Amino acid sequence: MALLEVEGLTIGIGRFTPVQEIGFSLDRGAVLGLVGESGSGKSLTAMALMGLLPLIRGEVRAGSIVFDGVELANRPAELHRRLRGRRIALVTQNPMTSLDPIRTVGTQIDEVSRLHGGLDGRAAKARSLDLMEAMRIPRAAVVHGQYPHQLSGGMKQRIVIAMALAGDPDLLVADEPTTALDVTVQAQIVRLMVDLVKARGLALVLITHDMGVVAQACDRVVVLYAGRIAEAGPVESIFAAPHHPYTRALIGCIPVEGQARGTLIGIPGQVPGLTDYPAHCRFAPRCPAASARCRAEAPAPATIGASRVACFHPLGRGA
Amino acid sequence: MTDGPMTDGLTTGVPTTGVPILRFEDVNRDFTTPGGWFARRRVLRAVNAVTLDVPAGRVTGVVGESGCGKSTLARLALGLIKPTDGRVSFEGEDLATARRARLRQLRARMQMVFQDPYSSIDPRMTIGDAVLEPFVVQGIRLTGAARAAKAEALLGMVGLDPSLARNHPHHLSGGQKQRVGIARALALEPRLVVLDEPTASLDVSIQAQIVALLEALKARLDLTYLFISHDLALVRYFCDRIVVMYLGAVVEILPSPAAPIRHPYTRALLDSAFVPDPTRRQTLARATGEIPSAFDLPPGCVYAPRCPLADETCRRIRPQLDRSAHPVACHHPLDRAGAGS
Repeated sequence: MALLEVEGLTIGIGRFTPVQEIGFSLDRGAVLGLVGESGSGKSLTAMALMGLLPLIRGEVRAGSIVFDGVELANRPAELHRRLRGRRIALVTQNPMTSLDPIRTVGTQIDEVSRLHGGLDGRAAKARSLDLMEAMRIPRAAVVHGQYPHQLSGGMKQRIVIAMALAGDPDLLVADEPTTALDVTVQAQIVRLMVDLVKARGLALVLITHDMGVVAQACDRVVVLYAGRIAEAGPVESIFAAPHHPYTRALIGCIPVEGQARGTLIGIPGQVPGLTDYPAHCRFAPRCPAASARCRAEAPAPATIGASRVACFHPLGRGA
Repeated sequence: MTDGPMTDGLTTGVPTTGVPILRFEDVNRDFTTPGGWFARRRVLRAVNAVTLDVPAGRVTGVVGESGCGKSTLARLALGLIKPTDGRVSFEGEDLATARRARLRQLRARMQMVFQDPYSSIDPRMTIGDAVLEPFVVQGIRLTGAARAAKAEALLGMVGLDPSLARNHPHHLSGGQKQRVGIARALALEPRLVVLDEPTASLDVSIQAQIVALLEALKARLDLTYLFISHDLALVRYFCDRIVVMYLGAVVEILPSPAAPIRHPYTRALLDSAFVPDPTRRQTLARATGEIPSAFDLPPGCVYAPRCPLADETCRRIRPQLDRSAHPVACHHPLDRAGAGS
């Protein structure tokens, strides 16, 4: 059985249903990409995994989240509190949301080992230094005694990831962990996270809007559009032959080497707001292949090759 | 590259394609932190000895990471700040010595599109008023009918529904707000548009739309762009010429987007791009370390602490941009480093 099994996950906030029937599974040592534009529901899905939906008055309306055999959906806050930090850790976009500005970064990493691992001060510090070195932080012993404001954005994010690893979690959820960082630093941190996941047998849910990050880091990908799965499957086949017009368009938004001028088009229109999700296929208003049927009913996911695709007119399926 | 300013301003008409419309000559720009009881005053050189031409009718890209000086360069280009040393001139006129009234006239011909469309538009204005704000700034009075017609034409030009003119900007999405920002920048029919990370805060699908719009507008209105970005893949797609900056200095100027890369930093930038192809995964090797503080620049090459090719010379002597057709500031440019690297 997979470490994480999400099935038919439907998230409600008040009278809205921003996430509908999302499902995926994730094994140890694997990286799953949740990709989509703003408003696709990817961060809400992360919050559901972390048991943080009550903070925004959201709830799981249907479906299940089974982590290591334990159902997490709509379970008491106490259960999530026990899991968070220890078995499931979160890395967010802005490292300062996870760091206390008035304490040294070292004591903050130490604290996680002491709290969750029951280590004493000396052992906790030794472990912190190991983790900092695993995150390729130069002069770890010096940095251990520094405050967040003395460090660059990339260093702070490395510290936050070291903190997340200090609880020795099984599952890491990273929500746009490198978006705010410099290009050369982004590449290093994404690569480092992937290597750590493989080496330590963790599972990583990587939330991103960038198909480039997906291609470089993920084993499997779930493409979300307006709260629903458009397409899901192994990264190699999704990039080699995307079946959903949205997936293809999303990949096409990134200019590639030698691309001729005037050939970057983007996707016309914009993601519909929560209040005006169409009852039919949600991508139809922006889709070049949309037919009358797409504007009348919503497609159910179907299996094509190694992928699941929710589209009436999938690409690359014969003539 | 042509020498000397070709036109002297507003009356002589449009310089021909390729002639520099904007020039930086040996420009430095320092910022000083205020000193205090416990902090000494510190000087940060945000832009360091930059010499650069922006040819008319072309897209010049400036690429680099945080602290490289690209946004300071944008503000110098528009005369919003003055250089500490050196000269920035637009159509031959020195922006630092131009009188205030003249500067305002010149600014009508050079406009800026900002990264954050949310904070660059006054939320209390209607979209029509926001687009026409440059006319107010320039003291140009439009009659009611002319105002409405102008606002509608500008909105239509950037692909927005002209009827939005009466609405307030909070109804708009990020992409639509950026279109308003572009319409406003084009209101006075400028020659030069400085685009400061215009797509950095937008979703990728919207980013591509905006780039396509900028391409179409450039062709239609014969514009010159100075396009500032951290995204080398985007810059290579969009720009005719690419200026690579690192910690305030120009390290390489690619004469064309396909030109073979000569500076190790440009190589690192390119290797760091997330290529949307899982069969071409990058390894954790090339770009190492992080950008040092601009306060404590090393004496030699500013990139030496991160550079895989750096040697004693690099750590001692700062390399100057050479005067070739493809200038690079490096003691060991990649095309000379031999086949092995």
